[in-house]
Amino acid sequence: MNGFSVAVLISAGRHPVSGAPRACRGDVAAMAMGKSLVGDELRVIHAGKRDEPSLQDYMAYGAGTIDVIELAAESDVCSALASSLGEVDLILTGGRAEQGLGSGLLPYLLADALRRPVLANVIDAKIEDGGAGAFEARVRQFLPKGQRRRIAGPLPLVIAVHPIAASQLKYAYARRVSGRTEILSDLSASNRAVGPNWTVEMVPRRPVRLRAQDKKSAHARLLSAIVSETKGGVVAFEGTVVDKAQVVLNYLREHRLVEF
Amino acid sequence: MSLAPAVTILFWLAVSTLAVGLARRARLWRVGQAAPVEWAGLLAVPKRYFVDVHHVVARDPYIARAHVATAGGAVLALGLVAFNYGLGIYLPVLDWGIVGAAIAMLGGVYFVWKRRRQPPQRLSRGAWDRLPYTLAAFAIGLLLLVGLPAEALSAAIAAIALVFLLVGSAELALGIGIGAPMKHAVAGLLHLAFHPRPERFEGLRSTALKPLSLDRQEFGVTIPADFRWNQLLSFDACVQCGKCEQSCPAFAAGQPLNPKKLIQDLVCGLAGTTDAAYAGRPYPGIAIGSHQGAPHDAIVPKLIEPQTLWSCTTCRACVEECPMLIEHVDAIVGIRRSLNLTQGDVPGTAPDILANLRETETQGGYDNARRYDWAIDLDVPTAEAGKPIDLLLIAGEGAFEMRYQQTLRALVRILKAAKADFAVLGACERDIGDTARRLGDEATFQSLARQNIETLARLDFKRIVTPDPHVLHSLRNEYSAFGGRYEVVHHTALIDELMVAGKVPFGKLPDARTLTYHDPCYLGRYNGEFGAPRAVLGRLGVGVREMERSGLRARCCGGGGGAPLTDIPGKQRIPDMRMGDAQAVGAEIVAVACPQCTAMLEGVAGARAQVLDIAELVALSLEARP
Ligand code: SF4
Ligand code: SF4
Repeated sequence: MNGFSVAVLISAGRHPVSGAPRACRGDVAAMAMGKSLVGDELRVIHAGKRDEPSLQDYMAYGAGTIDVIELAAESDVCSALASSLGEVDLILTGGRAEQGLGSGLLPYLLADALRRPVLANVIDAKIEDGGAGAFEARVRQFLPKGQRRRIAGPLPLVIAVHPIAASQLKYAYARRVSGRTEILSDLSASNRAVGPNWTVEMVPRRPVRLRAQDKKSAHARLLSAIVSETKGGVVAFEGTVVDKAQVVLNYLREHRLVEF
Repeated sequence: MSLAPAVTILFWLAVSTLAVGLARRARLWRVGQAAPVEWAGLLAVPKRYFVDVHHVVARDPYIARAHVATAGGAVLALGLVAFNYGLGIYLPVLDWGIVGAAIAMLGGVYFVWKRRRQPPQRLSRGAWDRLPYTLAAFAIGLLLLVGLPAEALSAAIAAIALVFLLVGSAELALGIGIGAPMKHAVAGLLHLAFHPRPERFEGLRSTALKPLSLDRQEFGVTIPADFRWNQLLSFDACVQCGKCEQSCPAFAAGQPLNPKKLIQDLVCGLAGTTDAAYAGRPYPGIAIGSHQGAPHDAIVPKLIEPQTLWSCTTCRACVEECPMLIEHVDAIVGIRRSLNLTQGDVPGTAPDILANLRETETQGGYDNARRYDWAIDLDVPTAEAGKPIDLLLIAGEGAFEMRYQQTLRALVRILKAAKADFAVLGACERDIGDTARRLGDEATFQSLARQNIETLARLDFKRIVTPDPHVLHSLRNEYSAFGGRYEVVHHTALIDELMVAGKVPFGKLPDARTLTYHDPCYLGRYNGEFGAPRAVLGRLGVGVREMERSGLRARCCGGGGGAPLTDIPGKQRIPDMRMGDAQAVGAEIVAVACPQCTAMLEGVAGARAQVLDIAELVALSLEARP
């Protein structure tokens, strides 16, 4: 038994390309950190629908039993979590959700509601026993440009895990089918909140610009970089439309941008 | 004094020793899982031995003849001894039969002995080296005791003859009980009777993996006792001839896999021993003596290391070469399934690829809607429900790869030139699941298979054509277990057919460089298709200069079984060796017929032959026509 309790919050992940339900990668990293801290004593908590399809992926990654705080679609997740997790010493979350608003604000709002500090962008964490029931988290934090820093803070805490944190968790089908969900509390009737009135639409496919292969020698390339006259190319002022089209077609063929 | 009663006593002693030994060994096999077997298989043993086994053994005529003489002589001699001495009939004429059989046996043994004086490295030594001597002792002992008239036998000679016969009989009778070399005879014959793939004896290639019942929590082979009992029996049939080792591309590349050692380790697992007595070549880079197993202990990692299992390309070269018709690939994939399904323990980039398959139904994590982007300017129809077509073109994962798109475009040009009635599967095409299945991810394979079968059921087509032999194999041979039955043709077979029908306006290939053809494992060994690609090349007016390992014995390109994903390091790369094979016959073009082969051979660095798909060569000839 550890002298402190740890819970990880997992969200309904979606693949960025296909939209298929899956374990949110950032939350898997958080779950991995939780497992490394307390092993199977880690509580895995999902606030949302009890039949959320992505939960099975978390089971495959070793979640075991997932406690579900049942919520209706348009609910205030943060207050639901705050009212259920007050007793948990260390709450781990991913950086941001893969669907919905995905603002990355949840750890901050939750910490605020629970009146405890939040450590964000954490790469790894250790818990030190300070004696007399006091524990301290020592973490390494991600900073831009390859920088890292070590910081520490006493429990209770909220830690938002950075997605590059190492995850040793492996996906096993047998765990997927043996995992279970348990309803922690059913707040689907209460707790309604009005979300922002946004419409969601597909990102249009952006055309990709074809790039001509530079056939010039290294010397010529160097020159064109420093002298503006040597850009090359043809300016077709003369001739009919067909002639001009032919010039364009020749260029495309020469640079193998078309195949006919 | 006649020694005949001594022979009788010895005979019955040997028979009871054999029976006790067999019962002991059978107890080991029976820890395995139940398997559907036909007892009538026992009756089929002579045919299976003389036709099917001999078909493989005869590839090495020297040892085939030596074995026929030795084993035939021994069986005949034993039969006659059983009758004449076992039943106490003591007919002198039968003694002449025994003498003849013993002489035949002695002759065979002589040739075995001769080969073993400078044995090829693939052969195991140890106990196997003693076999020519003990078998010769048996034959000589029999010859002296039965052949010489009693009065000609001095007491000393009689004693020596008896000792000889005793030693030889011990080798024959004790083998099965103590797991010595002669166990191969008993286990081998029983294996022929209860082979896990009896279809092989009916001329079928039988290469489809057997499905797991995931609902019944079948997650593959964790411990030796998870194998079916007839698989355990089959491991005991191994004669350690090393034919599998010699043909294994992973072994040749110095990766830690040796199929012969793997089978022997599984024997250790079923018998509960260590590999210390193994006297063949090891898994490259892994010392002998460090492996230990028991029927109910986990196979990985104490008996077999995971990197051994993940080195296999599932090319089936070992299965093709094995004179005992042992199924190595089934064993390897069986253990992979357990590693994958129960622990998710898969090396390299394979876990990412499997995640992609679950989440996007493509291996590369692509958008399925973009699978046919390469055909955007070719005006290719997409199959729709209620619109009947002849041919449904399934491109496979190669559709996302720039290099392979050239092949696909060439294929479409040919189909158009032949005015074929075809359409592509389009955005509703999912990965067929071959890679997932070979990596042991049966769950993802079955889920993809079921969805694909549903999609295909909505469409109205006569045949499926695909340039990907892996897709072909799954659709043709493995989907049937889930209710999907299709007529599937490979693009080379289709092109051949269209050429024969005069529908493709092909010409002579305008390229006079020397060409060789690389057989894809999943088209050749898995599906027995060797003729069409060569016929097509022949019609283009190019002679195929065959590599040393071609056709049934072709060497794998290294691309199968998810091996490029698990990427187990060795001393060299398999595709480099294959390109070496091509260069050894002076080939400047390697004709291929598979996206995996294309990718693997194109990945060979340095000066090398050009890699062109047969479809590309045919398309070139279309353009070259006056
Ligand atoms: S498995 Fe087959 S090919 Fe390999 S050594 Fe044994 S008998 Fe020979
Ligand atoms: S299938 Fe191929 S790679 Fe695998 S063990 Fe057999 S010969 Fe070796």
